Amino acid sequence: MDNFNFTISTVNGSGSQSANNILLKTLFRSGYAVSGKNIFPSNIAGLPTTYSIRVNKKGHTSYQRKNNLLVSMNSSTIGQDLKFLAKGSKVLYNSNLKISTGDLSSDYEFIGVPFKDLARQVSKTPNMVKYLTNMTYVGVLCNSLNLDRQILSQVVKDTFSGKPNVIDNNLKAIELGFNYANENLDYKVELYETNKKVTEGQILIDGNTSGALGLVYGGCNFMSWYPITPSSSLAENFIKYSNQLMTNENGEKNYSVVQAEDELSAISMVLGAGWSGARSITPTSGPGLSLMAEAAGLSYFAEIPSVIWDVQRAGPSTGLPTRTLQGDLSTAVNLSHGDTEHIVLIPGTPLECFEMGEVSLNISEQFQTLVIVLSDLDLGMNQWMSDTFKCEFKNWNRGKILNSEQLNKMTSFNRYEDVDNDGVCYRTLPGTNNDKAGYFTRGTGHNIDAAYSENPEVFEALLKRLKSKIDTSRSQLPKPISNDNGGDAAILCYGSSEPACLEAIDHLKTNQKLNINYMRVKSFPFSDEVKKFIDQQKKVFVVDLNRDGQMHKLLQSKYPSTWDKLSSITHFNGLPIDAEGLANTVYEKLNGGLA
Amino acid sequence: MSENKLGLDKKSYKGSPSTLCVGCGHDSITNHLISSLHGTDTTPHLITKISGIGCSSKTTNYFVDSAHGFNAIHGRMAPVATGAKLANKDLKIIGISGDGDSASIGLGGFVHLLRRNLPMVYIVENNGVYGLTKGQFSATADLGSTIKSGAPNFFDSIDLCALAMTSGCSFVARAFSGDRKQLVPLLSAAIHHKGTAFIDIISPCVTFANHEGSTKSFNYVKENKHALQEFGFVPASAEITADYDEGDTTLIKMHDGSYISLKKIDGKTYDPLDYSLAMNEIKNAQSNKSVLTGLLYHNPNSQDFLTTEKLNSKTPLAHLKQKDIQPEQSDLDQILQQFK
Repeated sequence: MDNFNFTISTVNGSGSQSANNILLKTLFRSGYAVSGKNIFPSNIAGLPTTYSIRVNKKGHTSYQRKNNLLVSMNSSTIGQDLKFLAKGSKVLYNSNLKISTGDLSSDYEFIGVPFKDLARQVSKTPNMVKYLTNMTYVGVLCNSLNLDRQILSQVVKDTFSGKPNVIDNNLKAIELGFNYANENLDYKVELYETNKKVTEGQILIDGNTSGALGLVYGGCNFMSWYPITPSSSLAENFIKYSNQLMTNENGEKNYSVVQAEDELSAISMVLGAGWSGARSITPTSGPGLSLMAEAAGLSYFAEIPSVIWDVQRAGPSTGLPTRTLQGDLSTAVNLSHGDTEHIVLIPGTPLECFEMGEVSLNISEQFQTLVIVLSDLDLGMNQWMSDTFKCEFKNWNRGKILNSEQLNKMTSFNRYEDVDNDGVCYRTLPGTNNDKAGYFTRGTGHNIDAAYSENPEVFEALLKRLKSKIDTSRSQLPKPISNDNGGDAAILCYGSSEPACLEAIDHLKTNQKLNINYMRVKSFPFSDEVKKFIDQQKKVFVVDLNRDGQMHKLLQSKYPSTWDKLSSITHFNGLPIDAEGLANTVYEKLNGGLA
Repeated sequence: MSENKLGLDKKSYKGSPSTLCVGCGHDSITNHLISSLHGTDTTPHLITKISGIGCSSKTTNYFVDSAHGFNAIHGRMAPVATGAKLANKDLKIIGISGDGDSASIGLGGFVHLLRRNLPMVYIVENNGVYGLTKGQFSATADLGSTIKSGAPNFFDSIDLCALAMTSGCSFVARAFSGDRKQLVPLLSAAIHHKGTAFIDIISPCVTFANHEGSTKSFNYVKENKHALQEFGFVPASAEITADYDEGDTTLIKMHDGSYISLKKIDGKTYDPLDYSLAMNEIKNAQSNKSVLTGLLYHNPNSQDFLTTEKLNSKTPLAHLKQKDIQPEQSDLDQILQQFK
């Protein structure tokens, strides 16, 4: 099979995550292009959770809802799980659970496996049995998918490195599952022949870990955060890696991380630290972003470098905390009251999360303003194949900071004087040993010397300069990626929907002989390439993972002349967008409009 | 004008002219603070003034003009100060807040800063009303006291000193803006404290809370204040001269070798190291609607946040250079092994 997608249906808190990751990594190390999507509940233990693993010969990694195999470890959801199983497929179900397969559709073949009994042969401790039950399905699948047992053993050893007993028990459970399948099951899946080149030099990593590493190598030395799904693992990984890599010879920290009392404080600490000269960031998600609004305006207006890394989840309100969406774009662009417009960076891959670790800090210091990075749950928490990371961060750009010597050479220093006529003024850091250095930062109206001013002309000039400053940043922000073969139409997307968009384009080419151009936007304000690209298209389908087509609207408002070319495609059920559905929508829209 | 050890006169610690109402208690506090900063030979360029929003928060503009100041947003003085200090450990943070700023909108930040024991001086200029919005009650207004129109307050006041103590603050004092003799040494000791030094300064609002029914008017505070001790501060460099009577005066050594001196008033002993006693006295004063002033509680052995954080003790984070601290590619390669 060139494309094989299977789902393991369990309850959360049962330890299935380790088992699923072991399966995913074994396939990856065997040379399969893989993706793993964890669809989990906002709960600690006992609610349904599914994990889908897909291998694809062409390397497509987008989320596919239709399965070719179901491993059912949760009797309560089997009816629902079957809805997404291709007819004629097999169901490996836990026969130790009370599942009455007689009531279920005859479209599928049910194969009972006593997973729990097998686990009991390794341990009698209830907790251990719970975990090891999952390992027995790994063993069964190893047999059925004809996986390399040596690779699997090594993955288990690496996963539980340093815990010989755990390794031993897990390997035993896998062995029992494997042997059971060998002796009792007549179920084999012929996967395509692997090509090691597909995974050579690749890593399997999530965007939050990647972002954390990028921040460490990008010189982030202050983080304040308030725990919130799905951003917490970014902070936790930053703590882990900075502790490992950013301490001095005396074991003292060259960074500081504060778990704040709320997001109001988290962003305020970032502003204090950014003002004082640290490279500062706060990771958060939607509800936290809302709470940070007032301080975002202060960052913009008083020109204090800061970064918010928003790992988006499904809103509004508490929404679906464990599901993915791109619903914060509109909020991010204009976060806070009054006239604001923020720089927004949108990574679409783990590698870009890594790179934006540095880029976000550089841009925030270069332009002395808030930068919002918009990741999302799918990118942040799921495992993605990625090129490995090289630290090419040669210049932590600190922007225009004057030290005491430079101040000595100047006749005067005015904090908000546009000396270089580029909208970006010079700043000094607190503690600078020079009589000219001090100034008074405020969120109130101010003149070039940072003194309070209610002068109408002064206020207007300040707002105009801020606008031009942000606008000037466009040329310095990450460029969009694009592919224009003079096609019939184009798809324009951003963030984590790239794999689905590329697969949809491939699908339309193969099945409909349609040639579709492509662009993925990586930053706002938009670089000139975006407008040029749109101008060259007959039709542009803007793909948004939100109800209101927020990117579509943003493009229309920035480029009014292109409004009739832009067509909105939205997806907002909380699951990653799937390629087939997207291809169908594009095809229907084209036949309805362009054909 | 006398020069301090840095060769600076008091003028060097002055700021822009105040725009507050004539006679405002806050302006007195600013003047006392200028005296303390001058008297303690505090390096002006290391002073970092941080405030929130309100009349009190405006005052950071009225002292040490040459220093950096940050008039932030309402209720966020505490977290902004936290970030600023962690980014540069050498800064001498003077945080000025008000009763609205700290007891209401910024209550969370206030409590959590004290928990962490961030080295700074935290001053609340407390008048029981929102002055800038024209006289509404704040959360520190006493039960039964009235606003200017005569309407009474139906709620118990939040006692910031009691709250500071339950939050783990290691230096808790209350003072009156009109009592220079007590406030200047208190501020000086606060500047030398290794951790958060919190001073709740009752500072009458001449425009909205100086009337009969207010328990934070000049007359009320003058008539109802009781000093716990005669407070003195002796810098490390000064010799302790002979006129300290051991039976009468207690000396507490601070981390940097300076001393706090506490002289009995009317022969009454008060031990500020006794947590329970301090709590009791605060609660009694709150019930009697009297204003207890002086050093209420002090814990000289508390651990400050920079120590807890194990922060680089040589170079401030703000001044670390890429070439000195960026990890190697080989470290990254090693970490990425586990993702292969």
